Amino acid sequence: MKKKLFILFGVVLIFSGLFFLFGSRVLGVFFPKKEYVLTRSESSVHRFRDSSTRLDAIRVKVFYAVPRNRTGDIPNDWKTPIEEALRRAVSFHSLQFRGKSSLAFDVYPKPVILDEESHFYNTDITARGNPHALISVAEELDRRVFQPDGDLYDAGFSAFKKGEYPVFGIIYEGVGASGGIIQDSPKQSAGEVARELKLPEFLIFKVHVPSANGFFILSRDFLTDAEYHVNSATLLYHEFSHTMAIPDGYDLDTGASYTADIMGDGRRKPLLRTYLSRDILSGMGLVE
Amino acid sequence: MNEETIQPKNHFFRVFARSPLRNRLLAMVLSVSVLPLIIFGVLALYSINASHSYDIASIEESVLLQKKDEILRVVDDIKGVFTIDLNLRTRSFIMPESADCVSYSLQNGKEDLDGILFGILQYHASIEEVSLIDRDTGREIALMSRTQTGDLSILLPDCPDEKRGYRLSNFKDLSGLEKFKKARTGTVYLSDVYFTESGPMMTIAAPVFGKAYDGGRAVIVAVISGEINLSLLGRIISETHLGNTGFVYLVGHDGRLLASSEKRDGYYNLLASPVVYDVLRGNDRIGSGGMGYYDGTFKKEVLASGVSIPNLGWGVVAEWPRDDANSIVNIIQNQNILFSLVLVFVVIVMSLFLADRIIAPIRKLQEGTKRVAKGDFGVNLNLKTGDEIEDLGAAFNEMTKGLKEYQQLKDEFVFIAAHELRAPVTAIKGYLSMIEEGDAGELSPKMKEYLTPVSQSNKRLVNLVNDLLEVARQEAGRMTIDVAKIEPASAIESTIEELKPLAMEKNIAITYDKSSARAVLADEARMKEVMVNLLSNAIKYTVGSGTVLIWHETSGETLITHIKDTGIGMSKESQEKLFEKFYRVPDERTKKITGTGLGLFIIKQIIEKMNGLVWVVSEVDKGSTFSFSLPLAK
Repeated sequence: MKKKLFILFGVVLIFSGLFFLFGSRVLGVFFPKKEYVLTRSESSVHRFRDSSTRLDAIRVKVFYAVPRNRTGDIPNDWKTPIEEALRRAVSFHSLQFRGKSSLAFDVYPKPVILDEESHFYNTDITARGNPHALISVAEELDRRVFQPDGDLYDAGFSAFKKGEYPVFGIIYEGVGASGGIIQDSPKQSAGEVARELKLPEFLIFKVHVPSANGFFILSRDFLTDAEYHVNSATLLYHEFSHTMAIPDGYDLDTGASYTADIMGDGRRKPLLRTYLSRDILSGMGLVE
Repeated sequence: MNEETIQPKNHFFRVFARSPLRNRLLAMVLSVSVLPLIIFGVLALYSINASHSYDIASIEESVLLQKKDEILRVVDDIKGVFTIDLNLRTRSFIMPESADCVSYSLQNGKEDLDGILFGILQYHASIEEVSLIDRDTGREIALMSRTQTGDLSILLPDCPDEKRGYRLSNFKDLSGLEKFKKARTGTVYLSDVYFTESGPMMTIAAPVFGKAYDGGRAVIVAVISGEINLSLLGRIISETHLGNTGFVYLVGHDGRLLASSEKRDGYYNLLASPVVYDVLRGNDRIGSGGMGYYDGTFKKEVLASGVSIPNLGWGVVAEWPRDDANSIVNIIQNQNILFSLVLVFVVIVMSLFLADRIIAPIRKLQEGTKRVAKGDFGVNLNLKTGDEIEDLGAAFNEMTKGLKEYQQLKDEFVFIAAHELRAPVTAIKGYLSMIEEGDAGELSPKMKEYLTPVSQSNKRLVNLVNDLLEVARQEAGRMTIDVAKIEPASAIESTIEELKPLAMEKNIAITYDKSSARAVLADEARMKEVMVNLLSNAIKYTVGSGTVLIWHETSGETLITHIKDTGIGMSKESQEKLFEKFYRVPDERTKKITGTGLGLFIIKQIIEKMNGLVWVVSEVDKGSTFSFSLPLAK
């Protein structure tokens, strides 16, 4: 009994000592109880309304495409405004996607002189951004630059890294401002794909361009003419956005905007002051 | 030997086990000193922490409320700019001229609108762009924006003046935008914060009221819209710091980081943080009750507070890393702990010292009492404590002095009484012997029957008187012991021979193993007296037949003689008192056995006088072993 009492006394003393030694840790209870930090599941960025196509890294192969009857219109310093607009687009993309999607570009070192004259690519229909030119030029570029038997084939330039989302960017010497995703599924029509993804049909292109998943076209005038100086980069990114299946935020017929971001009214603002709306970003998997 | 078995083997426990009073005193002193010290320590630490926690919460609260006021002031200021009441009777800034052509209805046409927009743009540097939207068509009829370089430029719709006025279709159609729809209903519209390369921005849109009235209410002439750069709010936040590493940030209604007092590379959503989560739902987390403690996004373990900014749905949050916030209190705590530990150590040492000081005289008294209990009345305690214990020691000495005198009187009385009784009882014994032998004539059977108990009683009386005389002699120091080198075996054998008839009568076998016997220093007659006593006891206290075994053992410089019987044995209590005067083992089976209770007391005195010891090991119903030691002869 006595022995037990002594042990008890000793234990009390030891605990008292320990309490004094580590009391400050124990006294943590006097502070607010540590709260649980919620876990947020952030999915990766993907194509608009299509979580199966990831956009962690996007690479745009950019061409200055000139119909063979327009070679006289090629400016001396054609490359600088294109690269400047692309650099600003890269910066804008990084900001809007919180760095979760990277955008890179390679500009083909020379203007690509197209096989045909302007009227072949434009036909008579240049409305809605001249999509006919987009298709014709893209098919020709794929054939000539990306296929090994093409006359402009360059293995180094035409290669995409694994996991990159391949895009063609066409700066066109002529009328043009449109873009979209390339759907080469033989089973579905463009309309069926559009309905399935709940996208406007004009965004879906059923063409044979095996080297890219998306493409856009933009008239060279938008990048060099003083009239468009304020929003040239904005226009470029706007058209590029279509390659990620992002639809317009304005009525194509009346021009009336129903969104304020870069896809709507913001397309007419400097890139420094425009943005991608939260609806778009969340539709691309950017959970917040 | 017995003490060894009772005390704990561990030295620590043995020290404490020796003095329960000291332990109690120690426990008492410690409980009245260490316990309050611990309680005080805990309370002090609690108070320090609680007070510090309160201070942190107060600092964070005051910083946050200040930031909230500053932000609200800026926002209200900007909102105020967009609340325009024009003293105009017109119901619209444009009026139709022809099918698709309009003209401005103000006196100076477009210039007046430009003036309004220019004034707004100049009012606040945060306003990046301002425009007017026609209330009926939703067309943007005037726009003015700040260029990237900071100059003002005027961007107006390119509308060719073909006939008179401007082509309406050349104005941007914004009728589908949320800002127009809401402001057109008469309420101020504030958009979500959106992120641009110029910084976080938001859109504000408000109705422009004219002087005309419709049903008692001022008519909305147009909608004015502006794009506000929130970098200024970032500057308000960036000027704030808490301690060395604490920081403040502004968070949008969706949890996105709008501004932070520390530079943040990358883009964050802070909705996962508990305080952010609460403030964005309109619940302020301020004060010691609201302050949160969690693992922050930017720094581990933060003490955080937050306030919501009404109408905007934003929140301002302060996060102070716990290590930094508690750096001072940790130092105080450590000092407090160190001081308390030293104090506890000193108190324990002092308690031990004090307890020993108190216990020492009591221990002396205890030892003195034990000696008195053993009959040593010559004890004289010298206690100098200057308190009641010293008085107690003096009283004790008085008591022993009185007891000594009383003992001397008693011894003298016993000696005289025994001496005076010895002559008559011896005479009676002689005459009784003569009568029994027939010297006074032939005895009838009846007379023999009566004389036998008288003779036995007289014999017991003679034994008692002899024992009393022996005891009296011992206590008076008159017992004579003539120590010489003797062979114990002869004394033992003659004793066995003497008591053999008694043993045979009870069918008890006595076995003596003298193989280990060695010469000892003793008084042979006294040794024989001891052996007679022990052997006769062994025979007497064996009920029925049995055995008595005698043997020797050498231990160091002594020869130990053991007498083991198969008798009735005795309890431990009886063993402890066995060698006291007049003690007889209380057992129903020994009531008929005669004895004075002085025999073992006498032999103990005899053996101790011969520089030996006597002891017993016994077990009830299994027998006893009496042992005594004597110094070996050299």
